[in-house]
Amino acid sequence: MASNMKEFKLFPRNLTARAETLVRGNPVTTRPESGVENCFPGLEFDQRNLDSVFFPGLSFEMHHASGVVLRDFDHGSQAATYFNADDISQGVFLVYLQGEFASRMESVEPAPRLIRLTPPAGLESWRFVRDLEIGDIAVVLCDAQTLTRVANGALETEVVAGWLETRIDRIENPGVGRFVLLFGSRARFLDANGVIAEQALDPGQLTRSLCSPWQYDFADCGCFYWASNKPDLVSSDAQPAQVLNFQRRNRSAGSDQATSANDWILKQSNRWDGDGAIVRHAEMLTQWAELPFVVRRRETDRYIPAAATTSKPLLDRAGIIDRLTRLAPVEHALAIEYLYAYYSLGVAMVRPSGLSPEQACVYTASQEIFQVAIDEMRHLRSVNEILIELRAPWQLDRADVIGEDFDHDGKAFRQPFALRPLDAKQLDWFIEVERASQNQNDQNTIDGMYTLILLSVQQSPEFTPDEKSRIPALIKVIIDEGVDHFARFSRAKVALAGIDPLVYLKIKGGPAQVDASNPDSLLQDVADAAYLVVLRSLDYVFQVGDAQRGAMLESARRAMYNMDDAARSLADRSIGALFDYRRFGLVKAPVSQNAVLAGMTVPDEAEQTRRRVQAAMSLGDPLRSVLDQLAIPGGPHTELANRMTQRLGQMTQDFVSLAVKSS
Amino acid sequence: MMPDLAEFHFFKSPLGQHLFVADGSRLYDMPSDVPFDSLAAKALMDDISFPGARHIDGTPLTPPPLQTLSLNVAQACNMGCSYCYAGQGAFGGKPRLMQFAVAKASVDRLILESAPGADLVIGFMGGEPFVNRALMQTIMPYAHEAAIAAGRTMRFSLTTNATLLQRGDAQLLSAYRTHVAVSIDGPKDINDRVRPMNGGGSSYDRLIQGLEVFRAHGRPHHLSARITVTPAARDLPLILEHVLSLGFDSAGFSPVLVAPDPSQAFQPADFDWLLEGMIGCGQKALASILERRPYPFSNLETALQEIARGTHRPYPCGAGAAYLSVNADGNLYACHRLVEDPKHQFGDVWQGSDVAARATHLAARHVDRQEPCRSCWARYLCGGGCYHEVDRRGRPACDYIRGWLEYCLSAYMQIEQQAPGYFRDPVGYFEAFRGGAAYPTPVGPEENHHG
Repeated sequence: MASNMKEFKLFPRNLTARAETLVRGNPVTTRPESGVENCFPGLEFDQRNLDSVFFPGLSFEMHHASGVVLRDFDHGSQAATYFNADDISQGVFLVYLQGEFASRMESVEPAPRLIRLTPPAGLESWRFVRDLEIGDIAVVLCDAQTLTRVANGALETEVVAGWLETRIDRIENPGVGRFVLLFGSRARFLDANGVIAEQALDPGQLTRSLCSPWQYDFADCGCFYWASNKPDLVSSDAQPAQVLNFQRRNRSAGSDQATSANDWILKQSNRWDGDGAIVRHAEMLTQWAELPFVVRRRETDRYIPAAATTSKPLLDRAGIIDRLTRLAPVEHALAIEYLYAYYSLGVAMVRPSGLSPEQACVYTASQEIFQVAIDEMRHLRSVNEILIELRAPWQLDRADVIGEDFDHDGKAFRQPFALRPLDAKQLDWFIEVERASQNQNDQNTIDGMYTLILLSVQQSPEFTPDEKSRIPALIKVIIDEGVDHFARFSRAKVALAGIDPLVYLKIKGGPAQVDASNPDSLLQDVADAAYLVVLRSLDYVFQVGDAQRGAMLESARRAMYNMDDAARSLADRSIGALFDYRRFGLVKAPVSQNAVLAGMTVPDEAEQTRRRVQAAMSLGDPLRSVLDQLAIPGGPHTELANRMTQRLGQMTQDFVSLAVKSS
Repeated sequence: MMPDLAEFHFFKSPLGQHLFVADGSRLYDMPSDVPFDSLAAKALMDDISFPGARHIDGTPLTPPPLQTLSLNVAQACNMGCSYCYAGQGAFGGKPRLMQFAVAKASVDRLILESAPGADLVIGFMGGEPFVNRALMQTIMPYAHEAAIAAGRTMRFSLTTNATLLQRGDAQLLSAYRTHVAVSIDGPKDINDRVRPMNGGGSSYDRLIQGLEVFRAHGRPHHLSARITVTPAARDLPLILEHVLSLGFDSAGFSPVLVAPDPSQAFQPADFDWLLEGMIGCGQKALASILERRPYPFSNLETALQEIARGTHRPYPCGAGAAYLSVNADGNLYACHRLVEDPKHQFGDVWQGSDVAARATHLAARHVDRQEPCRSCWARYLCGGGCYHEVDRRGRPACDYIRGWLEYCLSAYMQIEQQAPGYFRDPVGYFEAFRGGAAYPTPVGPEENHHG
């Protein structure tokens, strides 16, 4: 073969053609520089360390919200003409970056861009550096004050673009401040063998932020990620209704803290949790002793020993089952009271932009209420799971009275179940019912009741070790969340203080049935039928769930979304959902008999599967029939009906396929 | 120096010159300044030829375990389409319905002759399957459970005219995650001309009612439209546009080559406008795909995905291999079109499939063992043509097939260059740009986050 023919190449374009091609070395996706956003502690690689030397001769740090900081420079390089050690210690920041940037969209080619790195940020700026392609680049550096001025709009980017047309290292001083312009090529970190070049980084530079628990894990991890490792948002004795950053630098109450819910709501929290305001990295080592203990998400410097074990007689197994059977309907009732109050605010699911301060406060309050309602629905599930664990019947009914007088001391709430909009009176009731009892003997609060059950399970000889390990875990979550609910309702009260309910309430009274001639009455029917389907779905899952219960409950969320969708549509029209599930049938999910199949001999297991499948298919029947009426083409709620029908269909499909899998 | 035109095919796209290699259906970009009959091209082709280690050769397939069985649950139909290969569903015989015992024996047979752990499929054909509604309602749960009991999974597909659909049917199909293909030939006037109801009335109107039943009571897992093209239907882009506007997940054409009434079947000259119409539809779909708007023209999308994978097979379909069809009496045939054809009967559901006859069929039908197929570059993409059509009409459509495949190759090149994500994830590729839903998709508890 003539040698010149080898100059031509074929490029493979489909899978089989590519599979023919043998390439030396590991696939490109295994290389460190291919990692996407691998810059969090605990992961195998902190990408920011590799990119710290993206500009030849300069070493940046991208770990701080204050911006991309110049940490060091090669003293033989051009940079040494413009900077000395003093400049570095006072802070030199990267303010503009020019080069060719890879696109986040695969169909778009890399393109040359000039990027202004303000407002200052480490991680966000690093993402641009990460996307910088090999080729000519330019950096513009300035001090902290100048960076602030640029961030405030003191310099037009077009001006900088004009400077950069002449690729000569130099200083520009347009009156805003002193800017150092440096030109170079995007550094390559890989040597000819495809590994990170030894000369690119100093020893330790690549690994310095990996899993150093008291620095990077603690300082950098996002909220709730290492949940067991550190508290992040806490309350304090001094400010019980306030959310505080555990790592805040200034710990004196009231000095320059956020002092009202408004401070947080209006997005001024940067002042209290911005980079300068919180303890980070190295300070974690030197100032650890200043961080207080946190018990139940509240900072404290006092140790309060647990009260002596209750003097009340503990409950036996039957007594525990009896109490749980009566508590499940209470959880149900509370969830619905909270939901009704939430819908009465008529807020959007996603926070709209451009809210007035008052609207922002109402929105914040609404989110607190909604979160508690969701927790209560989960408690309903947890209590029933405990009952199932104890091989007792589950209980999905709703209580007509909240706060039974279990110990007959006449002090229980005995509050009739009532749906009311979120006015001050209703909010006070919510706070009251979620308030933690002051001692464990108090059975008059819901929290006290669970505490007694917890102690009884822990100390009773009637429970197996397996039950003793699993049941208390579920109960503890309910108790802990109760404490949180008290704080959330308290915050909602602070947020709503001083705002007239007549202004913020979309639904101003309790539930009232709309006249049957009004098309919205059908919407109320749909909401109630959807509510019933939520309960039927739960009942079905408890009946057949077992190994698939988790997956089924996930799917049952669609029933909840349907109820939510209908209730929101009503709220949009200033109408309250009735939350009367009994109008549309029984909660019990039917295990139907298929006449066609009668007489067919099938194995028992297959018969069970068939029944599960049939029951799954009929779960949504009460809702289907009303949705059919709502779905009239051109009607006011056709779109809603279509959405709900689709969700219902999807849930049914999931249940059927899970029912089959679980056999 | 002329290359071997049965092994190498050169084609152009708006991007330049390309090379298709039959062995492995491999695709390459060619330098644009290298003529295909030059020494340089020969050198390149030598580089990628492996005569001693071909991906595919003339070795016939040994009959594999069964994977798919179609049940002709109703050899009867409520419609009287003039082009129907089944002659109103009865295949030239007496109209009759499959009994439960036959259907059950078919399911058991499929499971018995399948591989352990296999993902099995039962297809319901006819005639119109819902003429035999009672059987559908019993056999689906039975098949589902029997498969599970035997450590298999069972999926379903159904071809229907959708004119008999009732609420319970939709719920059944939706619950069992069925792929449903609905026969529709275009807008009302075109459709009703060739698809009359036996009892009179518009089959189009009835079909629209059927779709409404799906919408209201449960949509099948996948809902496709099968558009049969007769020589009378000319404007394919208009027909496709209309059918897709009805909300199908996909739609595709199938020209009539064999019909009881020969005037309904394509003649050689008809393939010119057919190709033109198909490419017209293809251009619309191509433009849409590049803009991330779905335009599910299944003839094109299926071809594109096969080209992307480099699919190469010496048979047109799985008939007689992993796929067989059962008639109402329980006899097994190579496929649903060859029902009642004694030459293609391969046993029955009681005695089992006739493996020797299937092996003979596969040996005879290998595309490398037939002319003119063995000297055609497109043979491993085409597979040699539908057995039913080839036996009755020969191969009048080869130029059309090559023309269409050449168009698909060119379209592939453009998408692969401009939107490779389409091939990695054909569904997610479109969804990424549809925007988020108001509610999160429920995720399992295992869902994790990074740092």
